[in-house]
Amino acid sequence: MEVGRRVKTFVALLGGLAAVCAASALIGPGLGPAASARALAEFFGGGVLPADEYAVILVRLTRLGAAVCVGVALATVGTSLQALLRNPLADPYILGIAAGGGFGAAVATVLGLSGGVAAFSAVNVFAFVGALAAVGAGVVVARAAGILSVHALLLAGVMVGAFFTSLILLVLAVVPARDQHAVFLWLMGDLANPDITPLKVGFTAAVVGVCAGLFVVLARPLDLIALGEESAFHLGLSVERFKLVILACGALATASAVALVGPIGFVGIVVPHALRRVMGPRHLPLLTAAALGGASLVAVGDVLVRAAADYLSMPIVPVGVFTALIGAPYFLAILRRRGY
Amino acid sequence: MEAPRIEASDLYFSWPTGPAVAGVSLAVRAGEMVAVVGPNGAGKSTLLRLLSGYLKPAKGEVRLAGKDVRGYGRRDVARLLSFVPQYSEVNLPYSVSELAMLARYAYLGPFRPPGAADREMVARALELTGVAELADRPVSQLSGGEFQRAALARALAQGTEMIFLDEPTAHLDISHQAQIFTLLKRLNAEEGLTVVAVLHDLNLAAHFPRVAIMARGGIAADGTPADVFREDRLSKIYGCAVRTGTVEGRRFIFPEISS
Repeated sequence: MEVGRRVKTFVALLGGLAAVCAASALIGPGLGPAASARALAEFFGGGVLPADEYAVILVRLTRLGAAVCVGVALATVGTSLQALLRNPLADPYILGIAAGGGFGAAVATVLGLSGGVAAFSAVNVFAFVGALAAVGAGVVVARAAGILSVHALLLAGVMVGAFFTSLILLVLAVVPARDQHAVFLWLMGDLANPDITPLKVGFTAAVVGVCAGLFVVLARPLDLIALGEESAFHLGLSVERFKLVILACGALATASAVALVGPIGFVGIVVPHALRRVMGPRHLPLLTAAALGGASLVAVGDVLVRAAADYLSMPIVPVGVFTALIGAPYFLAILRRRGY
Repeated sequence: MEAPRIEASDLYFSWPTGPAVAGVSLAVRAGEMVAVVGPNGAGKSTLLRLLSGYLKPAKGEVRLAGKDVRGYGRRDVARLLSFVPQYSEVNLPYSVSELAMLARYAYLGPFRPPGAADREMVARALELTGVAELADRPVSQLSGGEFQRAALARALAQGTEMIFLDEPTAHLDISHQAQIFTLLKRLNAEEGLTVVAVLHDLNLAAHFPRVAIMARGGIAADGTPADVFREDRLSKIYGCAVRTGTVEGRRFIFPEISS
């Protein structure tokens, strides 16, 4: 893979992300683009804004922050898991995280639990715990005599996911319609949720930042593990320890993202595949590009959702629906063009 | 006499399906070339992975350069010993030179960028295995013969004193087989590379100065091809009538196929 192409892609991704961030801050209900630009200049210049404008800007920046965090988490975790599990279908949710988190969120929603931990509500906390429990269950099943079989892990993860999905359906079947709607919205992955506060985004950004940073630091070992465990071992990698580190980081980053906004689909599978074509298989350039691409994709989805609501008077659609609507056809086009 | 570089004593290992290696002891000295042969399921590949430290013996110990192989740090072992696995698909399109550069992990670790010495080792490994012209080709696009030579290049780029190979030429035609074994013999003669290869093909093994034949998890015989490849022994171990002949001082082995 020539260096020039990689650099160009990287610059394009950076530019794209900057453009999307600008659009995200300028577009949306409540404040026109020109007024938004003025308000943003005041906001970042340390000036005083009218309360209504301040509220609009704060909500937009919070949503943008959440979108970037979640995009970085999903795209880097997806890239790393595809290497670790040596499976092109791997995505951050393949080990049952989305279903586990969804079940946690559904339980907290239906029981109407209040309270939580620090800045986080009961729904956040339950979703986080449910997501980690799902991965934990898979690892416990797949690990024997100090050796974690990734084949067993994949199968166990799919089963754990199916189990939690059934539990979600069970909950939905027995609760009133009002709760059903809330659970459904959450399951689609939603950035418009007023429950997403700047403080929560800050916490999530810290966790995702550490995990994504660790993936980048471990890019070379990820190159090795993608060759297969036996090859990686003989090239000098402590394979068993490395698998646990990647899984722990992946689970933590994904669970944080899911707890914040629900399971936003497709980012974690489409971004690594699309970028591997241009950046090549080595994980240092790939992960860096994936972080930018993932952030852009989620933020673009969010901007489109808002623009559609604002200019076309369409109902607000959860962003998770939009990422899949953009991602799936794009992915199919790649498949078609090069026959994978 | 010099101490063996590889010393396995009374190794036992079982898969869930049953015992694979039972009571194997083996010593290999620096600069030896050993072929490990035997019927399917005799425990050859399992033995090789016990010797490399990838599998942990249920009983017994493997000492590599005088120290328990599983007591080393992973990267320390990878500086002593490289391993060419059976033909296995790499589904990510690393280029041939990227693949070989990954072998420098034992020296570079996760962070250090490759230096001139690393690039030199990689270039030399590609040169020796005849894949230098393929340096920028993705390994996912190579033919079977090219891929196995790239795998060997990766192992040589590791710069080790010992190389283990598991059926390195299983799917290759005779010209590629000849290329790979000619190179191994040359490196053995010129640089004292210690070679341990699991082989299916007894006629290839007959080119090795030392052959160990396994049967049902143990080593049934260990010595020169002329000593080990006897008709009665082979017939018993393989459970079929085996004939041997000698052409220009080299043993040839073939099964009798009744018509």
